[in-house]
Amino acid sequence: MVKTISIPQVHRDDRIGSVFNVLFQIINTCENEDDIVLDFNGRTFFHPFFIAPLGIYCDTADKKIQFINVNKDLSAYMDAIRFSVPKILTQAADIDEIITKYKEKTYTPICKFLTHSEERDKIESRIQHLIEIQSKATGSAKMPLTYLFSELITNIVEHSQSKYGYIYSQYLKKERCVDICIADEGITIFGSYIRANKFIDDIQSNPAIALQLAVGGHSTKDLPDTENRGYGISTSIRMLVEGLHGSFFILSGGAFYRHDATGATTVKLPESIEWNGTIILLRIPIGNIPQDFDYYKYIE
Amino acid sequence: MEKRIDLQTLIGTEIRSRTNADIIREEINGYKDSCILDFKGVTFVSRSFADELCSIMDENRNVKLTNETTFVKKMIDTVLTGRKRVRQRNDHSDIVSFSNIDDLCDFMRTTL
Repeated sequence: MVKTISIPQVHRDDRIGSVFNVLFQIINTCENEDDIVLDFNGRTFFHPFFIAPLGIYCDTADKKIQFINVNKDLSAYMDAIRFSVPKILTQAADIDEIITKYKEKTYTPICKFLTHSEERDKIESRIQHLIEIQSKATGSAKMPLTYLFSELITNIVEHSQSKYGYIYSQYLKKERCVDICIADEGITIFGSYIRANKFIDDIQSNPAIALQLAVGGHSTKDLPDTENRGYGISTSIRMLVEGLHGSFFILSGGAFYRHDATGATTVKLPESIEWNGTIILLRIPIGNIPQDFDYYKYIE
Repeated sequence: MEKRIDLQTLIGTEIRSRTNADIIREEINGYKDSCILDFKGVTFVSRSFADELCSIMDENRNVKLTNETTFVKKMIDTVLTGRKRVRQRNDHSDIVSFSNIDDLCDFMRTTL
């Protein structure tokens, strides 16, 4: 039987990840359904941190999902961001067409890239270049943007076992922020520790503890005598939140972690809600880099 | 005989992923004489790659670097220093657990 879900208006994401209040309800409703209709009746606009994760959810969920009552303007926007069919990037040349088409826009399409493509560095670099053009990022903003991009995408590639990764970005002119969404459809952070047989006694069966270990820099791959790995997420969070006064949200499997100026929160979700992989939201105040920001202070 | 490896040609101008280190390892594999990694034209190295590069240099004392930009050199030096330091962690926020969607939504409405 077809399950119809009415999509509510989601204009705002005041504290990063608050849009997931709606997304969790959608996921919860979809949990035991295979044939789903998302009804957009009366909706004209969505916050980027809602529409991109919803599109990624639809792409990764093993369900038949249809969209109805999408009005003309919203439909044009959803087509432009490749909501229902993400843009697949297998080589760097694939993104040249996107740069030409989107350089005057404030958003990128939802891009789906092969995590183990030989050209992944180049693909990553060119998507970032597009974001820099759209946001008119200056030199002081480019360094942390490159750092956050490379560390978090590397993390996906190294740990998720995911065939594809996702990137989406929207520049918010008024706030002078870039909202970036990075995701995978992999084994989750909890699954990564289990697979590596690391910290099993600490984690037990709790994905929220696994998430805390990851954001604290506890790697699945440390060498016996050194702690030289696993700092991608922890240093990125410190750089973004403490250094740039931005916000960070990560949802992996059955838990999420949010960190902004008001502090950090880790939440273990009910058993009925499970995100297929890991998704990260970054709000980077690219137009307001603090004058005293010291890039190297946050690299270990 | 000295071997010079042009990283811009071998990998590119921006070296992001850790796996690029394997390309270098293949190039220097079994080479006993001096190996020079030439960073001319390389504008960025990621922290992950810099960390892997430090491991390569630990494993292969015959490897030296040249022509790093200020940025690249500083990234490598920062990571090198970090590898020798005991990590200070302050990473524990309380975990809030939920057993049903209604309680989760109430929490998110009021606190997120």
